[in-house]
Amino acid sequence: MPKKLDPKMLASFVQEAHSYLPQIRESLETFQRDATQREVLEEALRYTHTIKGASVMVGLPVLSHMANYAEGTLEEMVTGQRAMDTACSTWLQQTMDQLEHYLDDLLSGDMQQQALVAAVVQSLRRFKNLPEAGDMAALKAAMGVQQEEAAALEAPSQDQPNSPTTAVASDDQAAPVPEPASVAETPGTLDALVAAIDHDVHQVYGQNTKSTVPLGPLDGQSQTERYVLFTLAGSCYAVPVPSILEIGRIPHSTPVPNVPAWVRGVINLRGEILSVIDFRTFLGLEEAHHGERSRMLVVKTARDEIMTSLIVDQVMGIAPLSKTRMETPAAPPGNKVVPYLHGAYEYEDQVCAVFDLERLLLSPEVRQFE
Amino acid sequence: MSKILVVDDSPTTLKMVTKTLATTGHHIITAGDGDEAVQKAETEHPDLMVLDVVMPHKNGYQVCRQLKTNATTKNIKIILLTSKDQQVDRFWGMKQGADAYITKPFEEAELLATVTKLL
Repeated sequence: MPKKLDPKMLASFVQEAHSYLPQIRESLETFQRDATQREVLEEALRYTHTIKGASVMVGLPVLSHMANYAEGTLEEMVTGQRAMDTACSTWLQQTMDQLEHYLDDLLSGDMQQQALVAAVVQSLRRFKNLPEAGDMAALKAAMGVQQEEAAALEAPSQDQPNSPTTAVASDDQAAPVPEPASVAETPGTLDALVAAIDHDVHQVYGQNTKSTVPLGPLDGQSQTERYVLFTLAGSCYAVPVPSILEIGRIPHSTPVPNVPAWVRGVINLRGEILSVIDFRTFLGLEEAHHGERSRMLVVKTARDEIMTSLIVDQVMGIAPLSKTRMETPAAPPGNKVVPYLHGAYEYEDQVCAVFDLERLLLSPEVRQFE
Repeated sequence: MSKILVVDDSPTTLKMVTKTLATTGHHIITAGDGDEAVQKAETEHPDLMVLDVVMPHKNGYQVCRQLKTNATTKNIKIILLTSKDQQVDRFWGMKQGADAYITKPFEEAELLATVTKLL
């Protein structure tokens, strides 16, 4: 059952979206002229995201789908995965034109949705160099949503319960429109985090990962804690799982002038501006080029005062380590690592040093760049 | 009767959420960005907030974290309501201390049930 469209809400949305489009266009033009003005790009992304969210709220999943395409491209630009070249600029401006056409058609009642969606889907796929062979599947998926929306536009004006928006799925097209509403099951728990990290590690390393820890509860004595194991310059290190928010590939970061070499720059991670710390360089270890297996750990202090990201050579997996077996780390005087260590374990025939992240992140050296 | 603060930078979404929550009989107040949300949370003392994530100034994650680490506002129940629907977004949201996470478009019944459960 398609969702009934509320004329008042629809009119409010059209007016709202119309007010954003000139600002998005202006932001894109400004950024194309001066790529240092990243804040205007973030503004364009925010307005596009708002159109995506508000359109699906008023019952226009097709429009949300179109805005979602543009949002995905803008996100790639904000995170530095895509440059603002002529092709990108042209495609974004065209998509904004098509969004505007859609809004105008909505007001005039002369809906040409199918042609608009086809144009957006096809132009996105050419822009992203996706094969023409997949166009039909992508179009069919998009039009499945479109049919539901068309039915809603024709629906009689009587109260009906909302129906979930059809999720769009296709081989290689951009992200689907939002799934139906749902409340998180049990996120935020330690096991959820372990599961997320395990999933990430498994995806990267397949079956050969050392991550063999069951996700069930640990022993009730709290003498064992889960740690994420990683390597730096050939040695094994660990940090407790609760202090890790995310593990990901190394993103493009924006360089910052007049900072030590170990600050590679800053990134915008879901609205948080984080420093990217080259952990090897910070600890005075031998420098190395970061490779395919290098990862970024987003870490935080227990009370959330500091959040930052550390680049490590490789994430090995997750292991339960017993607090009672922790030993005092031994190292020559002057070693820069030792002051930040909590202890060391012997794990699978190698010594694994455990970082005291509170000490590390709250150190004046790190804090000055937060 | 409880007080609910609804925060969203989209006027349309703000109206839709407010309209849905008006049926509960609770007192509804609104804010249009993150800074206003923090200010109203501190002065109006709502019992619950329905909080968008992507907003001007402070985003919803920052607002959530700030309020949950402040002794005077930490007991405000927070529902993140966002079209950021990736699992990692959901997980990130809950890490900020949110009490529930609902994605747009929300089911009215689900939003109302979550509000009832948290109040």
